[in-house]
Order: sequence, then structure tokens, then C-alpha cells
Amino acid sequence: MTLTIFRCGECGRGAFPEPLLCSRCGSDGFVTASVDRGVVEHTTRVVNPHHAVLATLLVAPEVRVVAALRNGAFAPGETVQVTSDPDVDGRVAYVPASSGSEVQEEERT
Amino acid sequence: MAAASIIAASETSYTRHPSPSETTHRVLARAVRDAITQSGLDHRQIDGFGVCSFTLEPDHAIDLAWRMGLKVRWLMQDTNGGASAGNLLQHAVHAIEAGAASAIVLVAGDRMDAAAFEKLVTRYNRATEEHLSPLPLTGPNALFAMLTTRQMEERGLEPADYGRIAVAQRSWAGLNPGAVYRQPLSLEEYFAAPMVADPLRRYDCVPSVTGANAVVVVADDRATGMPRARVLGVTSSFNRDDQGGNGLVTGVAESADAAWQSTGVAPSDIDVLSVYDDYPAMVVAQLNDLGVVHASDTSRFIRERVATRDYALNTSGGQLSAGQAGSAGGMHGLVEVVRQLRREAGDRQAAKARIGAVTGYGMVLYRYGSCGNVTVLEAAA
Repeated sequence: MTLTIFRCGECGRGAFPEPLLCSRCGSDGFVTASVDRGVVEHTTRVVNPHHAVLATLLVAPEVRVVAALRNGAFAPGETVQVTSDPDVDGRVAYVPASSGSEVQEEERT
Repeated sequence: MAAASIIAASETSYTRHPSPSETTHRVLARAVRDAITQSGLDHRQIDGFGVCSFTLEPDHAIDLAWRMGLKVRWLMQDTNGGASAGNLLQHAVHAIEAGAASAIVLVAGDRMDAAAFEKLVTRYNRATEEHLSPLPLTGPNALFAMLTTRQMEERGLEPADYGRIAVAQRSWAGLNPGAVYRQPLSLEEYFAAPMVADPLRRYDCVPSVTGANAVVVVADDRATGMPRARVLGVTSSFNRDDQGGNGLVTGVAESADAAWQSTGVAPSDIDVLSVYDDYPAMVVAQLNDLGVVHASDTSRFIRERVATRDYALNTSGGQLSAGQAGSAGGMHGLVEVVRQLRREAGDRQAAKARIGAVTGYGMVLYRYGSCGNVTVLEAAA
């Protein structure tokens, strides 16, 4: 299960979480885009809970998300697989998905 | 010519562990009562009221006005946490300029125990609920840990630079009977403290407390002869970059440009400064944003001016040592600068305290704070 981000239907600017109006052109028309990879920019290990590793990922131009890195060491600059499925196993970056998006169209990126 | 002045500034006692009978409403009311008493005004002379609190629900500003017997013609509720004091003050000054009110009480605070804090940080906004709370993190520590790493990389800082800020603020707190942590802190103890989210250690993270702060703002021409903090300007910035940047430049930068231009005050004129200090990295960011020190010179400034307490920065101990009373975080700094300008700061009184500045910063929408403001004040009597 990939991560869904949002693109303005008018100017193409990416966004996450789901916007209401485009910050660049003001349009309210968005399409979704499925993202399955991101680049690790920074990480931190939180002591509580369970020494989890959190990361900032760049998943599209100007679109950064906060993720939990699972099952492995990840270095800044590394490209990682991204999922919004909380139950997926493996060496992935988990980004919780939006609920109740009304954007229907979808494109692959 | 300034239109408004702050003639009273109060802070309730701050506590890490509120009694079971303590409520947000009561702690806000104590701050309001103390501020009105200090102002010398009669309760019935207050004709404007503004509040910010994270834990007021289901009540609103009007409920508090009613329960405190305030009959007003200007009423405001702000929701912007660490930026609320500047925001409330900006609107209050405008109200006084417009004749909508002449004596306004502003208050911010919360009963912030462990349960209230957890509820606040897990349901802070919709983005937090959906995209952060399902992750293995509680509150913003991990976000500011990554921001601190970015700042170290970009500005050539080291963990000791942040430690020196925490240690210096603890030294100031030792001179403030109202701070919750007053015992001296050494750099060795700072580094020996448990890691929270690398590179943040315990003393990098603001302690949550219960408490409230309040100020009384009046038309300047009715405050003649009173020791007061004249409001030279309040400027704000909201959502400067859609959370798409690195968070190292805050809304304080734009606010500062506007503040120096509109007031004619320069960063070098500041005698006493409170910057919003939820983490030492944000102290650094705002010192740079204000133009107090250039980014490339930050480490030297911390060593030579901040660590030595030569520069009157966060003289209450800041939130890092005095405590963060929920949404009173921004007003804590305002109250401290007003006390300094009124020369009421006791053992920590700055020798020269003519021009004061206060920043507000807050509302982590997803990755970092989105609101920033700058207040410029001048001592008058």
C-alpha cells in the first residue's frame, strides 16, 4: 500500500496532507498521486516508545512527510520504500494516510 | 506615538503537579485578578477581555467573562498557543486605537497535567491526529530533534551550543523565585541527562506546568506617570511556507523586518529580550530571525553573550526552566519583559532596561511551528 499525496490539477504543485486550496495558484482541484519511495533527509531515535526511529522524507518536489522507519538502519540520503499500511512488514517507511479524502482521480508517480 | 501601554503583568505560581481541585478556569481567574489589582484599576473599569487556553472547553471567552464578572465591549479568544500573547496584544492595541475599548485584560494559561498534555499533543490538529499520532511518538520532541539536526548542519552548531543556552537559562531561573527549576545546572549535567530524541536531551525539552499569565493594556494617555511598557509595535506572520521548508526560519523573521521598520528600533537597541524557547534550537532560530546575531556568528554569540548572561535573554529562566504553562508559553516572555521594563525583576533585573522585545512562536501544524510574532516595548513612566 503506497502513500497517497496530492497534486494541484491546475499548476501541479504537490502537497501533503490533503490541501483545500492550492498554495501556489488557489485552485481547489486536486488529483492524487501514489508514492512508493522517498529520500531520507533526517532521522531521530526516540527513547520512548521502544527506541523508534522517525524520519523526515522527501517524497516529491517540495513535499516532505514524517515517517517511522522500520526494520533496519537508514542513512540520510538513502531512498526507502514508503507505505501507508500500518501492518506491512519489512524495511519500510510508514506514513499514516489521510482519512476520508474526497479526491477521486489517481495517477502514478 | 504609541497608543497603548501595558500597566500590569502577572504570573500565577507555576507547578508541575497541580492539585486535584485546580482547574484551568481558576488559574486563569487568579492571573486576571492579580493583574487587575496590580493595575490599580477597578474591576468595573475593565472594558475588554481576551483569552487563550487549550483546555477551556466546552467554555469560551464569554463564559470566562461571565464567571469573572467582567462586563466588556471588546472580547476575543485566540487559539494560537505560543503565538497567542502577541496576537492578543496586537488586536488589543488596535481595539484601543479604534476606541473599541480602553482597558483590556489579556490572559493565557492552562491546567496542564499529564492527561491534559497527552490529549493536547495527540489531538493538536487534524494533521496531527491523522498523520503523527499513529506514529510511535508523543508530542513534538521528535520533530524538533530533526529540526535541531538540520540547524546544526546548516549553521555549524554543536550540541554544546544548545547546552550552553539551557545552562544559562537555568542560571537566570536561579534568580527567579517563580521558576519551577532553579537549582544550578552544569554543562556536564546537561550532557549526562537522558536522551529523549537524539540529539535532544532532557534539558532541551520544555517542562509542562500548570499556570497562567495576564497583562492589562490601556490607552497610553491614561497611563501617564505610571511605570509601564509602552507598546511600540506588534507584528505577526502566519503560515509563511506551508510546512514545506526546513523550519529553521520562522515567522519571526518577517515579523521582525516589519517591526524594525515600523518602530524605528534596531535589533542592537534591545536591552531585554524574551524569545519563545520550547527548545534551544528555537532560541537560536529566533535570535537569527530577529537579526540579533547573524547565523554564522551564532556559536560565538552563545558562548560570549548568552552563556555569560551578558545579554539579557530569557531572564526569567525562560520556559526551559520556569516552565511552559500550556498556552501561556508566549505570555510568560511578555510578562518577564514588562517586569524588566518596570524594574520589578528583583535579583535578575537588567541594569539597562529601556527597550524590550518579545517573540511568539507556535502552532506546529505538521513539521514545525507556523506562527511567529514580535512585540517591541519601551519603558515609560
